[in-house]
Amino acid sequence: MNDLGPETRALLEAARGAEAPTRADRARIKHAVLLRVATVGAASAVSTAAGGAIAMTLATKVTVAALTVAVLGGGSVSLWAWKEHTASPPAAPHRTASRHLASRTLPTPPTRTVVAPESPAVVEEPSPTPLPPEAPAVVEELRRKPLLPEVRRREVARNQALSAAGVPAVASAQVRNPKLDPLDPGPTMPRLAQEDLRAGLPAQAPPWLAEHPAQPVAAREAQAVAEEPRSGPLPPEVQRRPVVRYEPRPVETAKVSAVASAPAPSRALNSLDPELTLLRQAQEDLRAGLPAQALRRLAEYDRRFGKGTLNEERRAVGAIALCQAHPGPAAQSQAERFLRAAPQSPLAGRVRSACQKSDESAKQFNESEPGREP
Amino acid sequence: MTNSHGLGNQGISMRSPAGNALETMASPSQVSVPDFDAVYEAHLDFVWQAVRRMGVHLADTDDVVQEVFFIVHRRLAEFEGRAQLKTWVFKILVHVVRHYWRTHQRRPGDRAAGDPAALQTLAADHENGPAATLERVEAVRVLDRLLAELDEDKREVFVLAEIEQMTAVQIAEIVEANPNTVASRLRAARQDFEKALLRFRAHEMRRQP
Repeated sequence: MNDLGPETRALLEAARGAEAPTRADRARIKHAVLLRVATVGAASAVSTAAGGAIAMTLATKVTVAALTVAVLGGGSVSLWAWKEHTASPPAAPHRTASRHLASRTLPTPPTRTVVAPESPAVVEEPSPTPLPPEAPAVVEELRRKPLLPEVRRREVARNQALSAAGVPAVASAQVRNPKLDPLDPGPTMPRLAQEDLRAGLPAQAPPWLAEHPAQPVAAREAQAVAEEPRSGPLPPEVQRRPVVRYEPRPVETAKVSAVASAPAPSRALNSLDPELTLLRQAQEDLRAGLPAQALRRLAEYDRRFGKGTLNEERRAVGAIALCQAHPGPAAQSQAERFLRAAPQSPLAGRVRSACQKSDESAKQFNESEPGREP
Repeated sequence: MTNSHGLGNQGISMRSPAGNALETMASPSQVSVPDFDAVYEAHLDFVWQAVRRMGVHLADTDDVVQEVFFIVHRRLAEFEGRAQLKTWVFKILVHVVRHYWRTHQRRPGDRAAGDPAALQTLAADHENGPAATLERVEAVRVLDRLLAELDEDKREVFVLAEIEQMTAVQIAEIVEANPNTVASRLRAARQDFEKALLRFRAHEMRRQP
């Protein structure tokens, strides 16, 4: 029986071309693809320019992440955070960064380069990839599109800078909206990114890719090869690297300048560096018990950057500084405004704690001096 | 006019490496990169339909199609024109779908055909009258149900041959198999499909009063 029966032929004929994507499908998928392309390009350029070598990439990522957490979190970087970073293969920024555009979440997870195992040739080894020439144009196109409103664009730009600097990102309020229909990813968000966010996962490959670790990398050859970030055995130099517990301590300026002067992270990282430096200094002032000095630095931040890329972090540090410097209703009000605007911020707990303590101490102080106005 | 990529009759413009001049064709000696927009517009319908017929759920279709074109975009510069562009795109598609299936095939109910959401979408998208629409809806439902009974390798070959109407040589390149293997696999797929159709009709007759 080499041929099909008439009924089968009729069935195939009727079904052929019956199901086509709608115009909205076309626009949505293309937009999502271009968004991924743009972010992957930007991220890989940053990591590549950082030296291309694994050590350099990791060093950059870890240093910047440690710097940021030290500055903004004021606390310690836990062992798991280190492991997350060291577990990232060199190509990690690929998928991660694309997801970062859609989400600012937890520390960068290990990402993977998935290969279609049937293929004799597989996915490329993580290799230094220069910023694709079309990336700026793609980003520009995405920005021009009405699908990407102003708020979203600001979020994207901010996330780009943060992810380029290795700083974990957090989803915007728009992305975090739990009422989003899982089947309707919205105009700018891949649906899976939303699922990742809801599940508390950072940048992840799609679940159906993530469930199966890829095969070891083979030669590159075929033209058509599935390519995705993947988790895999760590390179020997990474495996040999001792796990170090990071203790909170003043971050050395030399490290900061080394990172900033690295040829690669150049644009995103360098542009972020002055903001980070000011916030770091403000944070150090707070640690040193100089909240007024911290507030002066934040005023300088406002003068220089306005609502800068790290505006959310600046507001958090500002609320904490105000609570320390002038505990009272004004400080409480600023802290509440911050918590209302950014309830999911990683710094929300710290703001809450700092301002609660200051409020209690202010009350105690006022109680001890009954004549004094709060 | 046909270019080295077999794109001549698809109207796909080619972009020089500098990305400036748009050309309607490229000679084999020219190293030109197909324009992604054109590739996307020319192949999205095929890719979408093939992804659906290969059994990817409607809920996952977006992601799978997106994955295909993301890889297409990344690899487009490496496309050397040794095969037709459509073949090249489908090769990527097959890899992505296979990977998808490895994680989905064992989930209960995943291979059930006749996704109601898909049928609603289908019905809403066609304006050829309710009767014609219903007929197509039913055809798609039955087709998906029968395709779901085929083994994956047979299903791939069957979809590419009978729906996408590709030649055995093209399919062999896509699924990376010998053309003779493809031919025998297609023969077996046709037989299995016909048997599945007979079973389906018999089942339908028994259900009727």
